[in-house]
Amino acid sequence: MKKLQFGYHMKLTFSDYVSNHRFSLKCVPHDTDLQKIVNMTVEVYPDNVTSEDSDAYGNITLFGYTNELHDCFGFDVKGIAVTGKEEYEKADELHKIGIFKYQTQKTKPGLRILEFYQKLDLKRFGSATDKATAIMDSLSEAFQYVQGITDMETTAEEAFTGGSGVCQDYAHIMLSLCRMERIPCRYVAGMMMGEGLSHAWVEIWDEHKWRGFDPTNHKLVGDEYIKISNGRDSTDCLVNQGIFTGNVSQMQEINVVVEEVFDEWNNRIN
Amino acid sequence: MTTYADIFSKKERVEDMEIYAGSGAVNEQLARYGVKFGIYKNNEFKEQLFPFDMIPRIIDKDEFTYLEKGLKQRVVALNCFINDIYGDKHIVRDGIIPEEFIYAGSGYLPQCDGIKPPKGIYAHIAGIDLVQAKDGDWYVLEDNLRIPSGASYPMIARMISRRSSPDLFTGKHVEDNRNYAAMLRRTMDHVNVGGHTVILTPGRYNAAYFEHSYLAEKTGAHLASGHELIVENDHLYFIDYSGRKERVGAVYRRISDEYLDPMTFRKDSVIGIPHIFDIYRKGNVALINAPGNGVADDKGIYYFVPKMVKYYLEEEPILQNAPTYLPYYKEDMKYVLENFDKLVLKDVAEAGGYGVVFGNKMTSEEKENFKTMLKNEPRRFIAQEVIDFLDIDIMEKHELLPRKADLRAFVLMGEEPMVWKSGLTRFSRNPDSFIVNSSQGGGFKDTWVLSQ
Repeated sequence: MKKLQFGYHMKLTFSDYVSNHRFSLKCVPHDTDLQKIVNMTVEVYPDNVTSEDSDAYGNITLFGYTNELHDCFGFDVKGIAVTGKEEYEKADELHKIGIFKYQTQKTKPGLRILEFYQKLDLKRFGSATDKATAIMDSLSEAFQYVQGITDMETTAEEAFTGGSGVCQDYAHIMLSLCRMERIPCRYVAGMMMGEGLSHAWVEIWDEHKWRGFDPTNHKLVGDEYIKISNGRDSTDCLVNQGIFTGNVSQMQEINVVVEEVFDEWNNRIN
Repeated sequence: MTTYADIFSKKERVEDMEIYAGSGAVNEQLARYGVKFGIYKNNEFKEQLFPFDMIPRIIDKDEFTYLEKGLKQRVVALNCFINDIYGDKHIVRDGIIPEEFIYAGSGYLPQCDGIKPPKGIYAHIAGIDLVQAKDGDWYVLEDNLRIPSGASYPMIARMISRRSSPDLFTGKHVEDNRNYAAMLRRTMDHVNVGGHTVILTPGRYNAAYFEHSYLAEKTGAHLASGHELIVENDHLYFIDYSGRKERVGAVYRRISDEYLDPMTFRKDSVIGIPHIFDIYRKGNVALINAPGNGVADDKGIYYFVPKMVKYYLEEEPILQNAPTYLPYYKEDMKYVLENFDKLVLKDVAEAGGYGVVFGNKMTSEEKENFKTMLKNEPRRFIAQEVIDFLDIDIMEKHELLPRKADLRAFVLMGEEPMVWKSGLTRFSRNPDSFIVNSSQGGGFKDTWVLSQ
């Protein structure tokens, strides 16, 4: 169990003023079997007009609008996550989560992933966890972490064909492979200890448990991770979605900081 | 069964010929009223008249009583199914429907999971397409639970016919069909969560724009397009001409799910309303019909509708499907391969008459290719016995000609299910065609339900 202090900062700067801005944010971690979120503050600017709701996957969605002219938009989310409360998240019965067995536009395999899948020869393994471990092992060998080659729109097959990408791509490829094996699995967006960008990994369903795998770092998901949202693929977990009036270019700045805290004050929240 | 010949005396028929011949006049009036549908051909928007044939389809009182019972039962079961699928999914758990028919299709919208719409109604307006076989038996061909259109055409055709030929209706004991607007209004008011009722249209370039405006006029609802509606503080508002905002409690939206809200569905939609889905989730507005109904009306799911009736209602289905086989099941696959030539095969992902092939019209090479495809993707197709439709007469140049026709019956879910005592009868103008779609040049008739 860990106590992690987190800060998630996102800022969009527009090249000119925009208006009629509508946004939906999935940037707020929620309580799960693994983590409890306390002392959280959420600031959205320039206007703080937001509503809150849970989506179909249980993710917290903040939504709202800014009608006034503005040339930047962003949020700051801060708080403490008590992580590692359990080893696994309890999962719904199989018939209820069947949707996670099927490929999406982002995870649909093409020839390259199919070829890779056949080489994996997963029949050697029994449990979903063993299969997922084998997939993660081979994937971290076959795929390189390189920023700036893929983008938000890149599919699993495109990324795999290119041979390199970021955590989102690792996650999509792993989902694609697990789904070919009919293992229910979901995409997870979140944060990891350290400083930098947000992170993404996968969870696979194994006998009523969701088990986290981080193919980017080639490790199992433990108490250094904070989940923000989960879904079929990255499109269900978009941190920021918006539409506005204005013909502008935009620059995004993201900074995520997650540090372990040990002081006495933290012992009290147990 | 009653035809127009039984209901009109011989003398009348001769005289009525003149009136029927005058159906040109009714068509002229329909054109004046703008009873048209728009189609895109070669990227150009064109409006076409929907040709009206004055000889009505006539349904006996007893026959309609039977249809009415069956239609109510079917739509109630379909609503139970949609509620279950976006809820506990018992029908999947109990193995009545294999999960891939739900999750691998495009109809199931995961965004709707867990939603309980106002009053638990998903399909408020259902358009059930039926055909009558030569032996008089009725079969359901399709359930339309998304945005079934067409009620406005028999509504206005009846109104104009009554005006142009009032004698035609004297002493004929035809159920009045001008109550559709009142039924629709009751249906919308039943789920309204507080505020105005709005009919949301994509605009005048939509194929069914006439219907949107006509139903708005007849129900007294506001006709609005996306930019006149706005979500603020968790509620939906209609912005009137002076900029004043008024709360909306129910939206009969004539925009498909994927364009309804760019924040949840297609991001490039400019006709939708941002965040309407979020507040619908919260129960702050009723959407008619509810998003996600596509899970219940695709061709693969159609096969299971009689099973739904038994499963949810513990009743025997009153209405029957056209005999349908699912190659997904081994015994059905065997039957389909052995009886290939007498079956019609349909691709479950396609609609509007596409992806439909007749076994006996294929060359032997095409047959072999198709059978290979069928074995590779058994879930993709359904096979049906070809139904020998009962022809209905139409009048063309003073001559009576038999044509294929179907019937779209409208079932509305208000406090209780209601079946409109009329319906849209569509016919094919081409004598060799089974395709009655209006976009394929078909015409329509009024549907008379007899009251005694």
